[in-house]
Amino acid sequence: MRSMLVWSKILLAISTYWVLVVSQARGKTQSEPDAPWSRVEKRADLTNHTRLFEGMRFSDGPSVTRACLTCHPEAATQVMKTSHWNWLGEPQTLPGRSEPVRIGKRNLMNNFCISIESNWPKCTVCHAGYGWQDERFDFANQELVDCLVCHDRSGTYAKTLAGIPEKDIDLMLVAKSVGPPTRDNCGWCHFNGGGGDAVKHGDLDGSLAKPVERIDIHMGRLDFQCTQCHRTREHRISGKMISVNTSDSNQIGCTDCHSRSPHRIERINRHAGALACQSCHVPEVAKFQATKVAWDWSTAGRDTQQNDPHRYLKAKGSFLYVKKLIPKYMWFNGRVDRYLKGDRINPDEVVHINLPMGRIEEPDAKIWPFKVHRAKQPYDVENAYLLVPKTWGAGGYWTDFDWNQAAELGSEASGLPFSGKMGFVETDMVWKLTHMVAPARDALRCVDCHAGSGRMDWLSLGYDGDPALVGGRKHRRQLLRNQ
Amino acid sequence: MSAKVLFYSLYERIWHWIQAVSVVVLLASGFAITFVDGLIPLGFETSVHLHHVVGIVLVVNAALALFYNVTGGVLQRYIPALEEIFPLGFKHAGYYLFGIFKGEAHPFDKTPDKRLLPLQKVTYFIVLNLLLPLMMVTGLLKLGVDVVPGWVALSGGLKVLGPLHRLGAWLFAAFLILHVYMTTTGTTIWSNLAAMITGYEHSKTCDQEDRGA
Amino acid sequence: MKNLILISVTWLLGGAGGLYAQDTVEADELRVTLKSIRPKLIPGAKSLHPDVVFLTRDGRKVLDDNGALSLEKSCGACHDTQYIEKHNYHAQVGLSEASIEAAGPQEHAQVGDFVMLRGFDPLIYRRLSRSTDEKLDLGKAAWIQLLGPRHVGGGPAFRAQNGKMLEDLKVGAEVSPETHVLEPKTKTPRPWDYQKSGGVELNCLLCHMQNPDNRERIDALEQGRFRWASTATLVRSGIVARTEAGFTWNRKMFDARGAVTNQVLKLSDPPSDNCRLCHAKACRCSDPVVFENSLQNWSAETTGTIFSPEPMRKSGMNLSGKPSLNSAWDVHAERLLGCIDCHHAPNNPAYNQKDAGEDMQDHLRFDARRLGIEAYLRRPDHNLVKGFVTQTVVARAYDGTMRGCRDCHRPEAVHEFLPFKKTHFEKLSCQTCHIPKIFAPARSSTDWTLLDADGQPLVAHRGVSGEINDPLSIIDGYQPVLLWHVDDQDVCRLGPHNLVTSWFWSQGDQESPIRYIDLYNALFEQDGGYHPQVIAGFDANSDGRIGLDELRLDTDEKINLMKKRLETQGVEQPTVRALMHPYTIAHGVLSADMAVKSCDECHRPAARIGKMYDLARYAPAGVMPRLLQGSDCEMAGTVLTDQDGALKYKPDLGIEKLYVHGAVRLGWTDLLGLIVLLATGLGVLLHGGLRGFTTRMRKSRGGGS
Repeated sequence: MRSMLVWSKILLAISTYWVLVVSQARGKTQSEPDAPWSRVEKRADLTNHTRLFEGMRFSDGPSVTRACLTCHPEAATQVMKTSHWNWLGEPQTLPGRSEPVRIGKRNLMNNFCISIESNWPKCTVCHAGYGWQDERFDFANQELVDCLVCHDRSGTYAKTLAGIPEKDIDLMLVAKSVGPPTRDNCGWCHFNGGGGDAVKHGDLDGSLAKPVERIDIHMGRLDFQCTQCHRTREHRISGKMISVNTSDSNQIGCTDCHSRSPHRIERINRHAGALACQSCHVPEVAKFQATKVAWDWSTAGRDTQQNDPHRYLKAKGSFLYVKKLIPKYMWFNGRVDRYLKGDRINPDEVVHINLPMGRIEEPDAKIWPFKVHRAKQPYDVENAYLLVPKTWGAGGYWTDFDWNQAAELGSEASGLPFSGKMGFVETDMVWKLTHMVAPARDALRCVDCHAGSGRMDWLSLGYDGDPALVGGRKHRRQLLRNQ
Repeated sequence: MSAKVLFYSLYERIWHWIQAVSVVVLLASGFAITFVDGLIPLGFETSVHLHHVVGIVLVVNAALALFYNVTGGVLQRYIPALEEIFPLGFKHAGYYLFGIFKGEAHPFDKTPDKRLLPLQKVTYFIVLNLLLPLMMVTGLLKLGVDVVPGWVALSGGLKVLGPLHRLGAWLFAAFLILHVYMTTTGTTIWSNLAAMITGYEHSKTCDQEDRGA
Repeated sequence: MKNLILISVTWLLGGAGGLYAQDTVEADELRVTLKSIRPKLIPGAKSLHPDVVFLTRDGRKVLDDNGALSLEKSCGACHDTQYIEKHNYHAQVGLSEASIEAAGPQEHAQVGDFVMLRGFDPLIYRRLSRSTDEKLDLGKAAWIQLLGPRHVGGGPAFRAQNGKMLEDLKVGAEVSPETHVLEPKTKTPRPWDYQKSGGVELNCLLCHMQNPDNRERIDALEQGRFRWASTATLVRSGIVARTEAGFTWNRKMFDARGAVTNQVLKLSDPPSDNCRLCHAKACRCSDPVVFENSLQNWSAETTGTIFSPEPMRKSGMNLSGKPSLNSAWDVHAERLLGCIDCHHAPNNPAYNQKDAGEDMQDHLRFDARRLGIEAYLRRPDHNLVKGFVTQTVVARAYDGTMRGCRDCHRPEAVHEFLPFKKTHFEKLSCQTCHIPKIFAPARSSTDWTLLDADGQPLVAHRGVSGEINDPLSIIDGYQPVLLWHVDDQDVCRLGPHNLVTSWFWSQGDQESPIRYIDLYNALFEQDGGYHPQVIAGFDANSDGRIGLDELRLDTDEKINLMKKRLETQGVEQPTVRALMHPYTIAHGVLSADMAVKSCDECHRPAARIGKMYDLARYAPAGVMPRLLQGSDCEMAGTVLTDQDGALKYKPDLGIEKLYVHGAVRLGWTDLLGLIVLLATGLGVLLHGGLRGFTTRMRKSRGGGS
């Protein structure tokens, strides 16, 4: 009798606990919580360097590097393994090719200024080293590593031809200021890709130095520094652009920090099966500064046309700039079909310099937003490949406005024979858009893509029509399977 | 001569205090539900939650007590005999109306078997057989409005259950006041309260045999 | 919370703690969605509609003699245009509905909405005169001119009561609303020349053509060129040009057969923008939403709802708290739904799926016998499906034919936060919580007892601080009043409404208002200025003019003056009447995160339920409005005036309908309970006090002895 009553009380206690606690907890465990802060990289501390250089005198860049290496002996060897120093990546087998190659800025062509070969000093302004004048640059010399361009916190540091610091810079002041890189350090080169603010990327420009949240939610509202997403270990900075890389290794993703299904509405979470986050959350780029979307080299050299850096320059030809650029959406599986120096082209077709790979049928491919840059650039009519012209410096096109001479000189430097017959061919190049993430409230909404609004070209993406009406690709695969 | 006797077994005491706390919490949370901006600022949502949980606790507690009393064969303790209404009840009432002021000795002695005084027995009979079931049934029906809508409709719906439950709550509050006050009319002011905590009370007619445990 | 209750009850009844009841979810995964065949035009893609040969009513090509386009003939080559006109409440506006024909004057006064034909609508005031009316007000032709701009043609605008075409009407000696119109200057009826004007055919183009020219159509109607209304709809497309004399067809747009290609016409199922021509001018999906409250913007004016996918934050309006208004004006519009996705033709085979419902036999899942697309296109039923709204009086037979909330959504599957789901769903319509606030202003009252200097009634709006349509006025929006109504499930539930109060003069004990022309002439002189007597009576500050703030019918002198003025116009026993029209709010559904979720929104006294609702600044002539019953559902409530004379509506929260914990007060129960409680407390205090006192007395006495 007594034990029974005691058991009853225990039962009562358990039921109370159940009712109070367990039932409340049920039903709250299904959705994956989005807790990005737990995975965000903490900012590195700033060490005060102001008293560390007493008795020293800095006459040039390498003298500063020597001082740095006394305390950071590993730093130079670490940097020298990175693409910021080598402008070459690791050996990789490109799609459709058998031999592994190392590619990077050092040997690739683009459809902006085309190639650094024969134009080194002008291009290497942005090299994290000192004195890359020509192909003979010593990549093994630790003293030539430029620590300051990334670590300057004084805001006074600037580089000029071949990456040499500008003349009247107080290197002592710069050295004393050093600290972990900020958006300004990265932006000094990356905001100015293509030779000026906002020119190349569209989603990276000077407006990100001190952005409002409308431009980029992470850097604006939360004051993220680049390295908080581009996590860096031993000077190896994660993340790469598909303009100089072809593989999807070492990439950064939203889901590094965010949940894979962070939306309150399940239907939106399901979109993530076919869409990159960026497709909706980077609704437009070049928000404050127009970015270049087309460049026609073939019209260069005219004295009659008025020079305007956003329309026409005698040295470069005609341009088209667009502000608030709406991306182009393409399937992308992370791999890129890359044009390499010497590849044959069909001059009657548009040459895709870095075509994103991926089709609707590939389950891993997703729709990504891209900036497309179209160009008309010189090619060798006889040999049917894109030419490397010398543009900058003595004999270069920008000096003498002589295409043949520029092609000859470029050919010497690149080792690519020039037949003497030059023409212009249409090319395009794409940049994956991933910066300038808008606040959630500005992300794309249903009607931006569906209901015939036109942002997505469903038919060329491979759908039978608006997937809201005809069904998504999963539905399509099912249909195919059923047949 | 008087002796200290075990009146209330451990179970009975636990039962009593669970019942007591439940009723107080139910009254308070019920008040907070009905008069959201009233004296008890619990908030509507919290009060509802609390009211449901404690309500269930009270019902289960009562059910177990019924089981205990039935199987223990001590049910007759709670059933007033006719003589307990008259003449004993009147005698009892007379004591509260007159004798208690004159300092007369309590006309009845309590033993573990006869632990309830005549009027107490009558009151408890009403409270335990009418008021408590009324509150439990109306409360459970209100709670189960989504689960057993047919029963609720049969009972007249919320528009009947609501006012009934509410009126019952007022009466329960009145009973609570009376009950607490009556505990002070024991041998000493605190003796009844102490008995419900320790279990032991003085009894004149009982020897020191440890019963009921 | 629901789990909690279920668990508790199961535990209790079943005696086991682990049983976990869950909502039984019908397994309907097998139901095939046919959305893949749903027709939808992709911009730029050629629609399937073939080229159309334009014919006149005689059946000749319009180019032959530059005749007026007849859509009944042109479209009738393939579609059954006569069937379409008859099965079309947009055209018929009640013409063929016996209930409206037979309704008495009181019922006529009850109707809300745009009962163009016969009813009294406080927003419009005027209606087509009945043959039984004592005096002619709006003859048919004048009705077309005045209200035709919001009527699609056909029905009464094309045919007379006896079914004959208007243009064949013989003018008899007897004055009839069918044949005569009122000459406003002389107030005498004159016959209308229908041979010259023709009738207004059902205008297929107005709904089915992308970007129709509504401006030109309205001009043609107002000028009395009824026959040319369809033709005028094409002016913007360039197919026809407007000239001094009339309209001239542009031969370049026709091919050799006299046909116009569909690339020019762009015919399709109705784009939402076409519905907006009459129902809500405001919403253009592509641009920031900018709207003006007016009768052209009907749904915004009557309820303040805007059916647009744009986030409110991006609208062009001066909304208060705008930066945080991330929700679209309507979540269904945001999620790609257009008007016809819900208000489709009842026999459209894409929607009319016979695979569910009562018609289906138990052992079947799908019925393959259904209307083919060809048969549907020949005879599409144009009685578009609709829901239940109190303001609608035409085509009540079609109430509830559309899919209601619960026909697409399964509320039981969500709402995890909500305890007592069933009880809540039983008493509240979905809109109650999902349209918690209207963000645009809406009409609150219309005072037809006086007219402003432009001859317009005195109107007031709710949801705006300052002048309506002034870009500087802040738009606060308003919380709709909750009234019982029959909702889309044919169940009586509480749902959001806007209450529009109206005052007007009527003659004697008639329920319907007096003629506008009598009212106008009572107030104004021939030259358009106020009558000297009116000025004398209403000019409070004696500046010789009547300002808007002086137009108040609030003293006996003014009322008597108005009565006298009206009597000079032949109105006998002028009486002020007042009505209160409930307008059910069904659009403007917000995204779920803006829905009502907190218990406190309703479960406290005078919260959302039972809250006092502003009606009007004052009651003209002291007449209190009575609430019109829109349905069989009872709407309980009282109209009060506060100390400033402002009119309020107080919903009567009787426990009969709704026992809302925290909100209801039970007078007698609580009083009785409180008395018992206090009496007990008092008794205990007295008894205890007396006990203490006597004990001390005894002690002191005992101590003394």
